[in-house]
Amino acid sequence: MMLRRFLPVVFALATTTLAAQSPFDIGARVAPQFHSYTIDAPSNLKISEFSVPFFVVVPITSSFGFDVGTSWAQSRVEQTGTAQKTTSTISGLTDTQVRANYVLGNDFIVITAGLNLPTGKSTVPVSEQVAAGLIGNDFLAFPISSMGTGLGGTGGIALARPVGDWNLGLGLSMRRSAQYDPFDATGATALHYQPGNEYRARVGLDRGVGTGRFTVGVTYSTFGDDNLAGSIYNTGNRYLSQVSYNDTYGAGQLSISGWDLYRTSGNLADKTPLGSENIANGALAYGFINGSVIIEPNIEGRAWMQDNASTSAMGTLGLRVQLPVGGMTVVPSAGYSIGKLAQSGGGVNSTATLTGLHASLTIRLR
Amino acid sequence: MRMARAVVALTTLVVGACAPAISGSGDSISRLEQARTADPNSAAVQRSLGIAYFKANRYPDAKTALQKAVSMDANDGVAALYLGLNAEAQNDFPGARAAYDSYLRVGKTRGVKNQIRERLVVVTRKENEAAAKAGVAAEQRLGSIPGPPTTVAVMPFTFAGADTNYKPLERGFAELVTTDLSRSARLTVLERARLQSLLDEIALQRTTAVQAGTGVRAGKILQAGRLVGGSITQVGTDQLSVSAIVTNVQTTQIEGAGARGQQAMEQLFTLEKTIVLGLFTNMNITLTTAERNAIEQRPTRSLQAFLAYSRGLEAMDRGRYDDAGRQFDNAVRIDPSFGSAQQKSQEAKSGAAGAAVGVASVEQGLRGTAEGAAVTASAQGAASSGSSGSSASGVAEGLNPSTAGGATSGGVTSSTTPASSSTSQTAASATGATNPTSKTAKVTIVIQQPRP
Repeated sequence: MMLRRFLPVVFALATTTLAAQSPFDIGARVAPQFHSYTIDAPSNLKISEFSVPFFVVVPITSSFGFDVGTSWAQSRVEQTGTAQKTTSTISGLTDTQVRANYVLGNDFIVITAGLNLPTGKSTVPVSEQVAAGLIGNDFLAFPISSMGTGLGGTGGIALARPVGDWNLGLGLSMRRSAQYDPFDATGATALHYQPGNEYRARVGLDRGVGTGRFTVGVTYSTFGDDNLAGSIYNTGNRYLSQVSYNDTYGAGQLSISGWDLYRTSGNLADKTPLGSENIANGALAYGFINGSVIIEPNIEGRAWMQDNASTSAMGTLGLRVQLPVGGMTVVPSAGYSIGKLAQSGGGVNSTATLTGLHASLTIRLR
Repeated sequence: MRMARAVVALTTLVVGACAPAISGSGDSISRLEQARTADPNSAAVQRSLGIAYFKANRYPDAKTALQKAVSMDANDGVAALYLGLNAEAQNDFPGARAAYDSYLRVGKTRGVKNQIRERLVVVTRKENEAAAKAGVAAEQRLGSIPGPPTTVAVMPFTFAGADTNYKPLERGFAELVTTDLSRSARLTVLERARLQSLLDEIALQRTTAVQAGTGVRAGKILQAGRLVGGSITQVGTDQLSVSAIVTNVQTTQIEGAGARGQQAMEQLFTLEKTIVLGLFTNMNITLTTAERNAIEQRPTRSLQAFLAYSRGLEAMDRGRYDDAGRQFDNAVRIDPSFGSAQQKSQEAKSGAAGAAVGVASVEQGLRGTAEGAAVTASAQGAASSGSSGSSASGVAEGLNPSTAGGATSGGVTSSTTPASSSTSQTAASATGATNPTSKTAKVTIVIQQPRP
């Protein structure tokens, strides 16, 4: 649940900025998408998100480039009670992230810096709180996990060296965020929220295998205390392990990936301990190649383990198609999920049936 | 964590099972051809395939694949490098030069860039030789196309005299004249080395060739409109007499009355200026003050230094870079301010080192670098993105991810991959408001009493 804040990009973005050449090689991607989960009794919740993320890569030189990303998003939560249905909706532009990467020397050192510009809603009225909060759940993993978190900045350095047939990468970064008011306290005392600083260390290994690659990486993240109106929270340190493999297999392309997110125990302001939790995910996809079109069915499984709660689990069947259209690549995809979600309350651990749908249309220029 | 271990273990197991052994270049090529069919727009696959073809001596196929890789990613230094090596293997020296120049612009491995700079000296020589061969082969066609009168070729001067120590002046004096004629903006003077390669090819014999018309043959091949040739004669023990003429290549007529002069040997440079100014007069070219001043500059005032320099030129023409380097160094030792000798010394040393540069030494230089990883991947039949330092960039991505970037990646499992949340902490996560399993978020405010 609270893991969302640190999760880095896994593998899909490995070449976003460094393939940069010149400003004429600008790349852009837009991916309107819809995700919805229905959680049966006792929760009786329906959480959905429609978002239009937009991402532009602007290479300046072969060594330096930047990218800009933002989204328009609408999230909606419906809860059906015994007598009535309540809804919470939030929509609008999210924060805008600007990142710059500078490659030093023989491509073995990358200096990275980023700004989180507060173009989104970081202060949310009570009626929108539920919708704004639940899209941040890591198990459900909505692509847009926050509408806004105020001004922030990050800087880091990554180094890589070949070791035999492997590439070994190491990186360190630090993130600092400005204070913001998460709750719209019209007529009441504003609650200022100052997120603690975040420090990350990452180690990664990759190598060519066959015609593809095998990649493995671990990121450790530790946080300073969060301060909400003078009360101190700590949400625990995090470990993210990732592994991926892709290669030509038979007439098509095989992709296998997995990640695991483990959060150590933290505490609330009154020292109430937050138990540790773990989310593990594995995915398998096989792309059938027909000319320049790739049709890729995929299957994914995920499990969420929390202290003092039942294990939540979810399986997803999906289909992705990649086709060239003019100078662009268009990737429609859809999937259906089914599983169970842990329910707590009344001292009894139980689960509720979970179903989900997602559909997206990614359009890539270059 | 148990689940995490299980995922990693399972994936590793599957990887081990799926990864076939890399047994050789044929296997690599087969795999890469398959990958190209699957993804014809992948620059990395085209590069790896091109390298694999090159290593299998399939040069035309390598050229096609590497050219595609470069056209897809102009910053792919490894593809440019192997395109150059492949072009050399095909005796396409202009192609090799262009590809190496490209590598010097976008390549990342400093040591290999130094090797390529050195290799370019050798490539230039080979390029001249190949151009001479091609020129002779196309002599009939080229001979029918008149060169512009502003394009001038300067033949080596002939030396006649008892002291053969002065014979190297044949090339040295021609070099001086070439340099000074090129001071005029109204003339394009062909490089002496290029002309020398042609002369070597058609075995022309110095000024007798000019006078007999065979020099004109060289001029026509080089598309020169005018040909300058002449002789140096030792007079007594301490005098030199020099004469030079300008020949119209098309008409074979001599322009003007020629230029001549005689001076003491130590006044060689003054004599050369006299000859050059006479040649300009013969060509009806009026010099500007700036051009005249530039011509008046002397590269050295030491005849001995210039003789050593001339011997260096001779050795360079014959491809004896070590010997040339020694001669140029000797010239610099005699006259430390002799700039041209310093420059040529460096060129000769580069040529000597460049002659030893080959595929093996280049790949040795790449070893342990990101670009080397791309080559290794090719040998394995893989398409590494080595030129972009995949680990460093991948790690940087992980350190500073983009939410929108992740959401638009269109990855296999984009909807359910852990999002690229680079957002910092949120109050929702701090208070548990992201958890659908709990009915409420818990905002706890601790109020502490002020201490007395």
